Amino acid sequence: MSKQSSNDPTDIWRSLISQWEQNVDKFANTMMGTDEFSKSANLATQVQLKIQSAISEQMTKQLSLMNIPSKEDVAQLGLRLQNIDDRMRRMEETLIQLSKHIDPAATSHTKSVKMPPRTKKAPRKQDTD
Amino acid sequence: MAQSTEASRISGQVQTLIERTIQRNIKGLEYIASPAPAVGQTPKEIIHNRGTLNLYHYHPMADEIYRVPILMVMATTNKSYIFDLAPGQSFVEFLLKAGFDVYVMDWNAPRPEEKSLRLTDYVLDFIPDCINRIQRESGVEDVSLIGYCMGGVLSTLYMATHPDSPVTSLACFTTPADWSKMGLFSRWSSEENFDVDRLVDAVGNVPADMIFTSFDMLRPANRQVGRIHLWDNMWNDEFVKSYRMFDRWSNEMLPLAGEYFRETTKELMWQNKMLKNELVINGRHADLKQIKVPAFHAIAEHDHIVPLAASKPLLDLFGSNDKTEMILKGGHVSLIGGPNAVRRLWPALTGWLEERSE
Repeated sequence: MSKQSSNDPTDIWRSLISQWEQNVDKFANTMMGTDEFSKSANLATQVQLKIQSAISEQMTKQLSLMNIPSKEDVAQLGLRLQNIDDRMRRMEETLIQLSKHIDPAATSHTKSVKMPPRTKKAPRKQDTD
Repeated sequence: MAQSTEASRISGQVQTLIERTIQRNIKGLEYIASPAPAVGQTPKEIIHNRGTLNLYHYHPMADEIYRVPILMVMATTNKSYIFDLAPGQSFVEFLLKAGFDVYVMDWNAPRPEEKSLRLTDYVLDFIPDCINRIQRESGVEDVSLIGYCMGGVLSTLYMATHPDSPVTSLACFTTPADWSKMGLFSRWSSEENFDVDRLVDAVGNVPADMIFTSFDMLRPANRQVGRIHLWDNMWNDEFVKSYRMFDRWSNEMLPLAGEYFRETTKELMWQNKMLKNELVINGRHADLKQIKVPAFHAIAEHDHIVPLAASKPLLDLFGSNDKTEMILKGGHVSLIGGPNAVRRLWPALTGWLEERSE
């Protein structure tokens, strides 16, 4: 079954673009699917990481000399805050559990919208036929 | 007579061509000057925030809702507004209008101190924590779980490690099960070529641009051709709006927590432990045969990120007797947000959930 050909130049152009895309993707996927490509890409990443690490080390030294906190210092501070956050979350959980003993209808947060009743039933098969 | 018809057809084509060229120039200027379209506009509340995790509760849109609430788990690489692009093109809105109570687990970029997050945190802490909160919030014991891509993996692993979970049905979209069939990803991250330890030790969290580049390299011509299609369709407001929303979403990738990336690479990509049913998370066997609840899996036939061969075996690994698989035309993203999703996936999934949500 052959496709009806179109003589609309824009359709021909679109078809050429689509063909070009398929060819480029196919070629690139074949090339990038080789072990050589994977090895080269990973080697490039390693080199980039080494450079990044050397710059980061120098930067940390400079920041320390200027008495300015480094990214690692800020991350440590963040970790401490996260620990406090986790403790507070556990305390909140305990409080919710306790409040449920006092008022079983209590929920964890105040709703800003009124929830409709949970009574909806699935349409029966004969209703949809 | 035939000659006059042909002349009138050619004249019509030329006229359309001229009109569209003028429109392209006018709209092209508008495009450059206008801000990116708003996304994720369906009203919601953040009911829980914990570092990288946000739990949203969407406001109901029906007078009466189903008893069982839905929790959707987003992939850790992207923002969840792919579920809620724009009114009329929003899966969340579709579910709300059908009478569901919807919650979504969304992700922020992990902070540097969150580089130590592991699969354990996502599977044994974040998901159960959100389910507990939904139970308290809704006053209902049962929950339906939906996961997209890596969100599907996390949801599956949660179910596999919690045989007594309150989840009564599980739906996954484009979720990989056989990681050896992940195409170029498998090859690039092979144990022989990829030093994941050195990478994670050096960067902490894996940068978003690195993830973006690896996704982009799967279809190198795609972005350029996308721009050509955009120019070609610049006269068409709907096309431009849709293009910009998808483009914004695909560009807005998230970094991945370092240890989570290391673990995923070693345990899933290298050792394929999900397929072998051998994965152990913090001492708990993630036994997929323990997933006995009704399960649904939507697969994209032309998915270049999670190929059909990688996602197809998922349901075979489950112990459930009630399994529904749906293979749809389209790609990884169009499956949940494209025109085919609106016409086929959303109604099919809604019908499946309705019967299991009373």
